[in-house]
Amino acid sequence: MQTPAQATTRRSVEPKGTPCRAELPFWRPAIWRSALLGGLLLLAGPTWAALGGNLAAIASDQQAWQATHSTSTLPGTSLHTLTLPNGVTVRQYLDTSTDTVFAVAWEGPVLPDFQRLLANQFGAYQDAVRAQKRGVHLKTNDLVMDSGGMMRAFSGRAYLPARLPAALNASEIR
Amino acid sequence: MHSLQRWIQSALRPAMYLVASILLLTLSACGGGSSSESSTTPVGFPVSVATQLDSNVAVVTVKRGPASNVNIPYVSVTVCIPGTTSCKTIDNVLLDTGSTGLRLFANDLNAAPALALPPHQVGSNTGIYECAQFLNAKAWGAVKKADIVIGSKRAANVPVQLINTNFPSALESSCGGDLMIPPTATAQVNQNVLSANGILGTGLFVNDGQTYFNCAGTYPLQTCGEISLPANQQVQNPVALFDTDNNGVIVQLPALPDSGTSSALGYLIFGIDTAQSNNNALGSAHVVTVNSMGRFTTRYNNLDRTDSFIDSGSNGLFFDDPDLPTNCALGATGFFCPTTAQPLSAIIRLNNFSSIMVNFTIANSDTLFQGGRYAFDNLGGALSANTFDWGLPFFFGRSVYTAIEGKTVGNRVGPFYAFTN
Repeated sequence: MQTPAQATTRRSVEPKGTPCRAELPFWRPAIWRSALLGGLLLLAGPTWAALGGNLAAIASDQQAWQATHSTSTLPGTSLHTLTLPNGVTVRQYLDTSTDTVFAVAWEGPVLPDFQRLLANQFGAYQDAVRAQKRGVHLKTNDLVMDSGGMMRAFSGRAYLPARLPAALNASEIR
Repeated sequence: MHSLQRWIQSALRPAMYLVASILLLTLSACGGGSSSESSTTPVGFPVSVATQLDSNVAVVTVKRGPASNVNIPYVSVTVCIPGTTSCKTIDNVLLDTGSTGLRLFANDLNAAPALALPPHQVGSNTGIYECAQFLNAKAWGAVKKADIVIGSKRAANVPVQLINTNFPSALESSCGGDLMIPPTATAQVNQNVLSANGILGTGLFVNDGQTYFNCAGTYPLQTCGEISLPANQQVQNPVALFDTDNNGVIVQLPALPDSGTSSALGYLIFGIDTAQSNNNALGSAHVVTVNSMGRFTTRYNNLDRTDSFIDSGSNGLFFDDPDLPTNCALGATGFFCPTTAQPLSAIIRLNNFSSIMVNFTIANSDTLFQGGRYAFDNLGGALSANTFDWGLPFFFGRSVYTAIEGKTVGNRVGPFYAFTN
C-alpha cells in the first residue's frame, strides 16, 4: 500500500479482508449467453444481417423496423439511412462492388437493436459492453466499434476494417 | 448514470450511468474503505449564497454509499400517493444530471411500510411499463404516478419508473441489453448494482424518450405491446413540474484536497435566475450551448470531442487519451492510473464564437482508492474518442447549471449547461 500524497494518520476503521465479490451474478456470462443463443436460433436467416449483410438485408431491416429509407452516395459506397418510428436513425454503408454492408452507424434517444444491427459481431459487442461498463470502445482486426452517449442521446458506429473500401476514409462513418 | 452508470458489487467503480448518462465505472477489486481509512476530514458545504434551509435547496452528499462506490452524489427523495400524505422517503438516491426522471426499485417501495403507488394510465393503456436504456444496461419496470418531494419542493402526479426484474424476453428486440438488476434481485443486490437506491434524473430534458409498453397478465405470462406515449405522459423530470423554480438545477460541490476526502456536502438548487429565489443567479457563469441531443464540443489533445456532456451521474472524467494508463493494480478497470498525477487541460466550446479552457488533474486511481475516501476531483477513465464526459470531478469547486429544454432562463431558452470556472 502506498503512502498517500498527503501525510495523514492512518487508523483502522474496518476489518481487513472484507469479502470481495467481483461481479454480480447477472453479469456472469452463462445466464445471458443462453438467452442469446435462444435469440439467435429464432432469428438466424439469410436476410437478417445488417453489418456483413447485403442490399436485400437492408430492405429486410427496413421492413422489420418499419423504417423510412433514403440513400445517398459516398466513394465506392451506397449509404442507406433508415429512420425508425422511435426516433433512431441507422445508417448502413454498402460496398456496391461486393454488395456488402461493411459499416453501420446509429443515433437516437434509445439504442438500436444491436443483435440485428451487428449480426455476427453481436457477441463481440456483448463481451465488450460487459467488460467496459460504460459504452464500448473496440478496435480489433475484425471489428472497430464506438458506442456512447446517454438517455435520449445515444450514438455510435461499427465497421469491419477488412471490408472498408479503399476509397472511403473511416472518419466518414458517423 | 451514464449514468447510467453500477455494475460491480465491489468497492469502487467508474460510474458513468448514462441513462442518459450514468456512467459509473466500477472498481472490481476490494478497495477504498474496506481496509483502512485515513483520517480525512469531511469537506463541508461550499461557500454559497444558498443555504440548506432555503425552500429551493436540497442537500447533496458525496460519501460512502450503500455499495461503497466512489464519487456518487446522493440525495433523499420522498414519493407520495398523489395528493395525499401517504409517503415514503428513499435515501441515497443518485443525483443524475445526465438522465431524466425518477427511478426507484419496486422492492424498496414494497418493503414495509409499503407504499402502493397508483398505476400510470393513458387512455386504454392501463398496464404501462417502461424499458429505459442506459449505455450498458436497461431498467425495466412499471410506470406509476407519484408526488415527488425533494427538499421542500413538490412535483405533483409525476410518472415514475419502479424498476423490477421481470423483463419479458420477447421484448428483447425492442429494448436490448442486460437488465440493470438481475432476476434474483434483493434490496441489497439493487443497491450494489447502482450503488444507490434509485436514480433522480434532473437533466436537460423534460421527458425521457424511452420505450414504453402496455402489458396485460402477470409475469412470466405477460403479453406486452409497444406503445407511443406523448412526451408529457412519459417519465418526467420532476424539476420541470415544480410550480416555481422549475427551469433547471444548479449543483454546487466544494473544492477538494488532492487526495480526495471521505465525504463532501453540497447543494442541489432548483431554478436558475428565477424571480422566486435569490440564491440561483446565473451571474457570470459560462453558458455552454448544446445541440439537439444535448451535446457540445470539447477539444482535448488537439482533437474535437463532439459528443461531450456534463453529468453528475458519471463518477469520473471520462475521455480517450492513449497516454494515460488504465492497467490499475486495484482492478479499477477503466480508470486511469498514471504514475504521477497529470495536470491537463481541455477547451470547451461555449458557442460558435467563444471557448474556455478548463484545467483538471488526473491522479493515480490506485493511490486515490487506498485511503477510505469517496470523493475525488481528479479521478478519470477511458472512453471513446468522440466524447468527453465531464463527470462528478468537474463539479467540485464549481457551480454547474443544467437548464431544461423549452424553459426560459433570463433571455435564454434551455437546454444548456453553464458552469463557473
